[in-house]
Amino acid sequence: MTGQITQGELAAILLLPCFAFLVVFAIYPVFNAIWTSLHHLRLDQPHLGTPFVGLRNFARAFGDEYTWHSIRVTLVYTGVTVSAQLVLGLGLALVVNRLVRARGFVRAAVLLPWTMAPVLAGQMWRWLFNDQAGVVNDLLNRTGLVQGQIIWLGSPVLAFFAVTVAATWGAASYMALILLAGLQGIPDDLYEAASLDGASPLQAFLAVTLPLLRSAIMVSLVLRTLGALQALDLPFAMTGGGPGNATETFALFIYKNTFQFLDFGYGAALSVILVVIALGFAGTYYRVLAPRD
Amino acid sequence: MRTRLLAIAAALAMGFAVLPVSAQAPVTITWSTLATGGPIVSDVYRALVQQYERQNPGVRVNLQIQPGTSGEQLSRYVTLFAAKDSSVDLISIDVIWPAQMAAAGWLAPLDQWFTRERREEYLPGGIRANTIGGKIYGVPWYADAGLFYYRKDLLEKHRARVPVTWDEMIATAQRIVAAEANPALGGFLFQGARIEALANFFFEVLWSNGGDILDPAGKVIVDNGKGLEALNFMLDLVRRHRVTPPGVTTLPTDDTRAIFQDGRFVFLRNWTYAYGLFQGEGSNVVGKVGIAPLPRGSVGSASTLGGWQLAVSNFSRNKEAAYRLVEFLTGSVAQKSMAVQLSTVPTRKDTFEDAVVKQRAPHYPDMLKVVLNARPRPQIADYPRLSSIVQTNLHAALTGLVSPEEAITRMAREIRSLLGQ
Repeated sequence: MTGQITQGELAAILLLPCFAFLVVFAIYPVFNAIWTSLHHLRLDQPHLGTPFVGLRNFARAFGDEYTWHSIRVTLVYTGVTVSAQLVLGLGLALVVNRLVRARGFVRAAVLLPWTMAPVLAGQMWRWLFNDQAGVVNDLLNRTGLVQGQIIWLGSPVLAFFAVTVAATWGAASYMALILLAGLQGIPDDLYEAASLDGASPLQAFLAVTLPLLRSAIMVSLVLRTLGALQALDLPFAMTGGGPGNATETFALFIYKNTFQFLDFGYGAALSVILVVIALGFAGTYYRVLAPRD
Repeated sequence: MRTRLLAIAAALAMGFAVLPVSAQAPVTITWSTLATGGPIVSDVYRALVQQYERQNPGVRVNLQIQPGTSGEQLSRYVTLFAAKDSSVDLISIDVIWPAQMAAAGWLAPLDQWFTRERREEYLPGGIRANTIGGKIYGVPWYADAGLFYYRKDLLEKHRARVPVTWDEMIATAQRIVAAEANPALGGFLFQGARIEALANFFFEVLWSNGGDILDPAGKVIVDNGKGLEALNFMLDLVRRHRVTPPGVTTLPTDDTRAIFQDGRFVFLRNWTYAYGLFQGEGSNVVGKVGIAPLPRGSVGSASTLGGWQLAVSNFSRNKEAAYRLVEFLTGSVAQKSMAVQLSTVPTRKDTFEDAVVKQRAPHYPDMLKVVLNARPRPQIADYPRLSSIVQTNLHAALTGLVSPEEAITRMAREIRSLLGQ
């Protein structure tokens, strides 16, 4: 009550809750994971304690063929789903942006898949792709495209395809929303100028829309890539990582080691590797796509 | 300001005054359990809980019923216990979990209540499975084993006998399916999804041919030729003999039960719980199902020992009250009730002798024979990882990801590396 606080102090006070939140829920867990990754910690072997093992967990990870397999699965999954989401999301955004009537309604409807919990969506897709009772096989048979039952989730390539379809369905709408916000920030007079200069709609799209969407594309790519790298819920619900381990993503592999085999030290080391991969992606996007002055 | 403080103090004082009363309020015990088989099974659990509450007015039971597979249930418990969560007092555990869970310190030892004399009342196999390092961590709730289910009506119609060998099973299945000429009817179903039961069926075929994962000394012997023979047999069921549909690789336990119950297969490998459901409401095969030991291979018939136990969480704040509920659920009355209504295999000796059970469940002698001869899964502390290795490699071969030779070679290599051999 005595004296005035400076603007800087006020800013610090106002930022404090946010900072405290980050410390508790982001910074502490990261350091805890790094600490754990350097120790032997198996819940089912408490008598061994938690001795310091240096980089042994990491050495084990790099020597484990399943680590490499699941990293490969994750990279392909990320590449396929994020590009499909970008193309589909951009298309959706362009269509919704053109709408004159019922824009609010359509925008809400487009976002619906994103609001569904991925585990629920995974269960739904698992039934759609079921070989005996699934809608997908039923439709294919009715339209005469296919005869008999395709065992979608029992074949490595088809199961991978099914999971990426579900992932694209789930997140393309989220991509569309961010891109739509970007589209609405582009002033109409730029398009008028383009058309006065005789640009075709395609040329206007390439010369006006895409460059001005650069930052929206970057944001959505970074967010979706990070999401895809951590993909656990959808493959978990649809295939459990199978058939064999064809759809076992890196996050699922970490989950299995940590929570099924109770090997928390090894799981933490794998998590740290995932963080490094994710940082690598985020950095690359930033360098390539960030708006330059 | 002062009046407000006073008011707070008064409220606190009243709160303390109320405390002794609330201590006498009902104790709530939370029991979390898988209910494989759906509503018919969970209704029986609910009725048992209500009966217990009526007999013990001071206790309330919060029954949490979860769907899914045994593996999914284990994940739930691991998450719960890793967080030292005390919200669950009593859990139902699969026969393969006690070692791992007891080592992690998640289960309360029950020795002080579940005395040696009381243990005498149970079949010895279940007691052995729950004894870790000289202490007992669970009470056997119901026993289980892999069984062979067959359609009595179809066998009679086509004048076939119950198959005794795997070859006979294949021939009979092919003959009946061909004669029925019903595109919806299949031959034989096992659990082909990448779950525990897939590994168990593999063990059963392997054992029936005289093979094993480990020899008595613990050395890995699955790649001595017998493992490949067993895996090729499983593949042949689908590819060569066509008695099992390729889609079997997506079917977990309860899906195979539901499909057979629909009347769409002649033969099925499943656990004992399925029998009661086949006779229950909504079943297309009431009175048409028989059970037998799994068919023989070159050496004999073999079945995986299963079964569920009730255990008390070490984080529970009401361990003794939780144990009293265990005592009721594994006691004569509850076991009889489950045996008669669900056809689960009792773990108590006196239930097998019970006249009502004998009359209502004439199939028990058959089941008991299988359960008593069932074999335990490889007994190593890290069984979950061994099972995962077996499941993944089998599933990779069944779905054509790798050749059977490669699957067995990899399986053996990975188990050796797990065991440090």
